[in-house]
Amino acid sequence: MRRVTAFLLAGLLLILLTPAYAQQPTFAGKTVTIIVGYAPGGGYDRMARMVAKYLPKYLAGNPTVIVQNLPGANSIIAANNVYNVAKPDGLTIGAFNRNLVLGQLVKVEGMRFDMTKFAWIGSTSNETTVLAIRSDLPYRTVADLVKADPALFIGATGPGANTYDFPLLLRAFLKLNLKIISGYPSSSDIMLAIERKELDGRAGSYSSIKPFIDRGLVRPIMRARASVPAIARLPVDEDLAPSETARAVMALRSVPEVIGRPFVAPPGTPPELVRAIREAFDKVTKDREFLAEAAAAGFDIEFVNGDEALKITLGVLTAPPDVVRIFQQFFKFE
Amino acid sequence: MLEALLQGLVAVLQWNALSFMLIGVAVGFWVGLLPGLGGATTLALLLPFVYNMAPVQAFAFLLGMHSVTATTGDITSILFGIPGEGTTAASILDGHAMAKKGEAGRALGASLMSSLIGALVGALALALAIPVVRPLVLTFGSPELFMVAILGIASIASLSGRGPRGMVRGFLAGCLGLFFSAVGSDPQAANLRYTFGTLYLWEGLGLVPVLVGFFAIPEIVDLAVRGTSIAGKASVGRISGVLEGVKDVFRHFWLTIRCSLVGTWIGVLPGLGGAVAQWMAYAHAVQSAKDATYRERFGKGDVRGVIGPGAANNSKEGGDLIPTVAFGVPGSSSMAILLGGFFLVGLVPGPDMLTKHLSVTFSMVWTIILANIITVAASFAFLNRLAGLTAIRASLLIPFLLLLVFLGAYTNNNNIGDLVVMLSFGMLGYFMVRYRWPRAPLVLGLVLGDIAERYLWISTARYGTSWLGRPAVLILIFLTVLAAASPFIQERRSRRKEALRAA
Amino acid sequence: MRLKPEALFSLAIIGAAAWALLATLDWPIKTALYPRVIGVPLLLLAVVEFVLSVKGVPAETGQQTMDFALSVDVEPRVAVQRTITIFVWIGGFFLAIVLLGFAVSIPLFVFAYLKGQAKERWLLTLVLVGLAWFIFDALFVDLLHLPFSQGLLFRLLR
Repeated sequence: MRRVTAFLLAGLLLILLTPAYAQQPTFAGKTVTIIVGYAPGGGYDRMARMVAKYLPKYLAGNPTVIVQNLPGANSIIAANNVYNVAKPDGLTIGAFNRNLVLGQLVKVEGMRFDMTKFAWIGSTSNETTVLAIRSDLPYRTVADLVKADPALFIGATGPGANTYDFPLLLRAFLKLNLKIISGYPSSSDIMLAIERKELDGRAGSYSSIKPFIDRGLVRPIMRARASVPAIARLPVDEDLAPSETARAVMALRSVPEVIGRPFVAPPGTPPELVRAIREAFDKVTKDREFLAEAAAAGFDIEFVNGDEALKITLGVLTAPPDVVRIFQQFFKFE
Repeated sequence: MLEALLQGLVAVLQWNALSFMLIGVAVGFWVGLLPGLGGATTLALLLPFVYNMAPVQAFAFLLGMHSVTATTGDITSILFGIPGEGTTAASILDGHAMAKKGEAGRALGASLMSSLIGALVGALALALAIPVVRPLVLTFGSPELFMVAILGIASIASLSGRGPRGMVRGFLAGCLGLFFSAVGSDPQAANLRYTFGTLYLWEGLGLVPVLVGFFAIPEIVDLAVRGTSIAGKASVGRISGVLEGVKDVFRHFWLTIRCSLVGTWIGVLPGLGGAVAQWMAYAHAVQSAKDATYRERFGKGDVRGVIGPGAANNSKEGGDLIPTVAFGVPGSSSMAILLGGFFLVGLVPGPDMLTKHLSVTFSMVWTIILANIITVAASFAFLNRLAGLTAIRASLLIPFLLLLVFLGAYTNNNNIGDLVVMLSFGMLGYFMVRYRWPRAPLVLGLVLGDIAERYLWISTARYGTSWLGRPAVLILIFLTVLAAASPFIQERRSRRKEALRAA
Repeated sequence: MRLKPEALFSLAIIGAAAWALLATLDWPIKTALYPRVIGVPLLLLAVVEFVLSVKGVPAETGQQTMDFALSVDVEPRVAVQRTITIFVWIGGFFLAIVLLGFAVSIPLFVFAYLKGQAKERWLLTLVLVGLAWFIFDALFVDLLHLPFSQGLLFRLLR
């Protein structure tokens, strides 16, 4: 009871002292729904559930926050739904595939949304791609991989995934001697194939490869643009690009990873609501308990604000046509 | 090692771990019973709760839940012909046929007992595999995985009817299943195949809506036509029936053990998916029938068709855990989610689990054993009441069965498309039953087609054609020939027997 | 000549297989190989099955399938009528869900079936409708948070 009174008093003080917050919207008694574009269990879902757990603390009125899953077509179905069906009342938040913007760039059929028109909340963490090879191989640098003989067998799931696209560009532009073996059902099947020496290495998100680097099975050789402190010193693919075009094509693939766990609201969500949610996200990502839990789950949290995320998205969609044309030869949204 | 084994047991028996296990078991009990609501999804929903738990408690909770879903999933499959889990559809063929003969009690008794033995074998395999786990998992490369899929597909022959016409229909159904697995974006070039311009079909046909429609709709239609209860005029067996079922398991003890081993083995192999084990075990039960007249009884209420999948879908749990624990590489979608649980409680799966944290690993073995003993004991207490459900009149049951079928299918993707798939396969299933086409080969094709396609491409890209000479591949080719030939051998045996009788 | 329904069924499979094979013609080999490898035997087997059912191969050899057989102890005319009725109910339930959404359709369907088809007593009907609603609302909506979209009608009216 005392806590409630204190809370109310604090709220009153806030209103009296800061006129700017006078219209601070309240979510009291309401339910905020985070719609995830994947089935329960994956990275996007786990991030959304963690955010949902801490979000009520930081939204005015302490609403209930629930997670709903709308899987299918790599979260296009969920994005279509949030864009066209959900009401812009601040009670719906979408958590989608970071590569939707690339899908929009190469004009995938069935996308009924414009990534730049969503009300962007931001991204809670980046998701960087690394290339890692078996530790018992003699190669240590990018130059070694160019000279490697015979070619290294690199496992991949398929086009559209970073396990495939990243080594594909490395082979095409940096002339790394790689042979991509594609079709593995999941990245963990690739890991097992590396363990039994069917494969020599793989590309993939750093967070999923990290346990195997720590265990000494594989060693990271290079990374893409997005980064976390532990691998900041690895060479970056774009820096080694032989031409401006190659660099731009690699950048297109990498940039969405900077906003690796994007959260958006339906277009037309009132700005004051978007601001309130953004602030809540910002506070959640600084909450000590949240950070501890995220670390345990293997996420490196780094909040990118909605404005910044939107700018990055616009940047991707305004890439020069000749770059997009080359990019399209390598990339398939799947 | 022995010390760790005991430490594991003691840790699980601590009151807080034990109570978490009981909660998990209670949840898993219902998750298994309800169609559509699967073990993997539930694991994902429970995952956030384990943060702050001690490792043994967390696994008692998560594994306790997950390892019993297959046990109670069989109950729904047997009683109503609706697969309670994606992994328990094979129990319908003979289990539900028994229920319609008034033998629900016997079928449930056999299923529960075989589930228990399966779980014990799987757990034992997990415990025994610990010293030899590396060679065990690592000898199976992509070429071997491809051949396992082919071995499964060759079993279609034994799941077909007798005679040339039966074979034609069996293989036709099998091809149809293999073909349905092509729907969606292809694994090599990521082009869309047969999606009819919908987004829904990008990721292929969902196994749950397919199985729910394919098996449940024909049964519901038939129930409506008969207009009686499921058991019809047959009197529903009393407790004696249940005991009979338990005895059946011991009568066919070696079959139970063999099918448990099949399940464990499929579990150990990564990427084959939970739905494969039960069908391989079912096919094995059919193949081990002495001759063609014995074989013919399957699908019409043969208790061996209940025991096989019942044992396999529980024993795969222990097998599934082996690559997860030893390498940190999950062998199925459930295990991928469980892997998240490892990290949340501060454990890194991999070699450490076999040395430093061995007692935690053994606590998992004990969790599987205890959770299944508890579930089976609890189920036995309710068994007569459960079997009694088959005496309820059709008119009351049908709306609820349809409710479960519709909601169960919908939980796959939460999309109306799930219902369309469920209904389409319901129609297909109905016509197949009506015109006497076997349904099992179609499911076998559907669950194995994708694996076969992927690993053939991978094997060829990686090894050219040299993979055909690998010793394990050669053994599997031999087994495949054996599996494909088994119905013909059975046919010859029964002809010889008839000839003897005539002489 | 009138075809038996059995032959029509295999004819439908032939059609589907032929269409599926034709569809692979515009695809790159990596996409098309698997469906072609499967599609060809599928088509051939379907043709064989069609020929066999037109020729009317004796039932005994064709009959032995390892699967359950539809009940035969109901008079055929009644059986056909009941089969059509249940399919109409199933289709109706689906249509109701599309048009009205799950939340409305579930109690509506259970009520309509129990009262209209099964002619159950009022009390029992209402209790069971309540039970169905409870299962749906408590378990699937409140506990599992499944997203149930609104019916098409409501969306059009909005």
